[in-house]
Amino acid sequence: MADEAGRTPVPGVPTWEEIARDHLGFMYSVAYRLAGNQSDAEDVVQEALLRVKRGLESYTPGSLHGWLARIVTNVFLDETRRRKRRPQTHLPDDPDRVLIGAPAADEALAMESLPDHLQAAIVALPEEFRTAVVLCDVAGLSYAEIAEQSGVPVGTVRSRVHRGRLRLRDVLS
Amino acid sequence: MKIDDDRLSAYLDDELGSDERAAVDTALATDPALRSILAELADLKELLGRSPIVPSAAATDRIMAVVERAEEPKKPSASPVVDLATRRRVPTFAAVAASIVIIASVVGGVGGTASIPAIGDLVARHEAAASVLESGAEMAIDDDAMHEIMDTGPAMPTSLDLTYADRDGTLVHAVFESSDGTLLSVFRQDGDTDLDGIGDKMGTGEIVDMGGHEMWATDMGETHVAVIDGDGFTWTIVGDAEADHMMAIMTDLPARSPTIGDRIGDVADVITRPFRLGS
Repeated sequence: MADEAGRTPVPGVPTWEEIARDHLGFMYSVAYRLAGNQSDAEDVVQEALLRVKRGLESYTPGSLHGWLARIVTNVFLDETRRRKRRPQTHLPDDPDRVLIGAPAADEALAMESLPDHLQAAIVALPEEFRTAVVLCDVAGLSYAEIAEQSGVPVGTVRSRVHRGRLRLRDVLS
Repeated sequence: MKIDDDRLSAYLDDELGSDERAAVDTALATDPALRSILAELADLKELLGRSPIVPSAAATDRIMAVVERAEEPKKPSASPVVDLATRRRVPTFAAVAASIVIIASVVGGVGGTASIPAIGDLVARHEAAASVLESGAEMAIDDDAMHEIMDTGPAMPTSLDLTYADRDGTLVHAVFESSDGTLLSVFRQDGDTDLDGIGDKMGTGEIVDMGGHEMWATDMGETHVAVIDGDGFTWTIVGDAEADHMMAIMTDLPARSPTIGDRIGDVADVITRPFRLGS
């Protein structure tokens, strides 16, 4: 049976609707750990979902979370680079966004947060360390998968994961 | 084995071969401090792994609403993409500063723009304008393509492309690659500008007279920026050549590409007009 967009489901390949329904939380977790705040995490997930929709036809059955984590990470890195080139002060274009501010009560409850100082330490990590640690420990990617995503050798990933963790350990201790 | 030996994390992540794993086992067996560190790293890994952030229903709704809006078919622009007759005046310094940032991003990036204040509103407006253009419309590229250019730097294959304009023609952007490989990004917008103010804010550059119109120009490393104050409109040009060379190219633009007029109508004339005043 074709989905809403008229596509015939391919065995082993989830539909976009299934990804949005079943894996939004995973994408959001990765995005939040990378970005460090709710608003940016939402922006990253929104763009990532659009890329998922456009790229689903090229997805080959395999590590779905690995694929999604790569997309989320790429969106995050794209946005980070864009902001570096174009420092800007965001003006809300959606009235609803003006009202976000602090998380609503249900949103606060929905977050099983890390200690604030640990989340802050993650965000303070150099980008390459942060990406490596989040992809390894939050997204559960192997070093080989992280290496492919980052375009660096596995040995570099190993070093980045370890150095990133040591910095976080210093914060916790 | 020292604490900074990355085999410790790889051991934890089961990413070691048998020989390296055996070496770590041996070190751990004889070094209680190392065991302690490994335990701390394991706790950290476990903490990160078991702390998913579940988006609330409200956050989920916001995410899906934006995604669904973005997927809706875009309505054709009610007015021509470029309609100079209906242009309106826009802020001056902020607009030009935003142009510099935007164009510099397209051309390859310019450092030192962090001091430009209050440009977010115009940048957001540019992007919003680009996003509502009908995909594939003449004289426009879609938002994704625009971002791709911003991400990858100069990659326009054609000699001249008008990359986007907003719905009422207030903002017009063209990228031009000359036969000698010089890449220009030209941004035109309505409104006069305060060149002295730009110089003061940017802390660099100089103002020169060019046939009755003033131009502020500066060298930002590999990128050169020129802002020309026209009569009711302003151009910002960013390129990888000296300002004089960029202007020479612009002056010669219509002769180089006779199809320009067909492609971008009177915009080409408007873009090149100030460069011909002194000739």
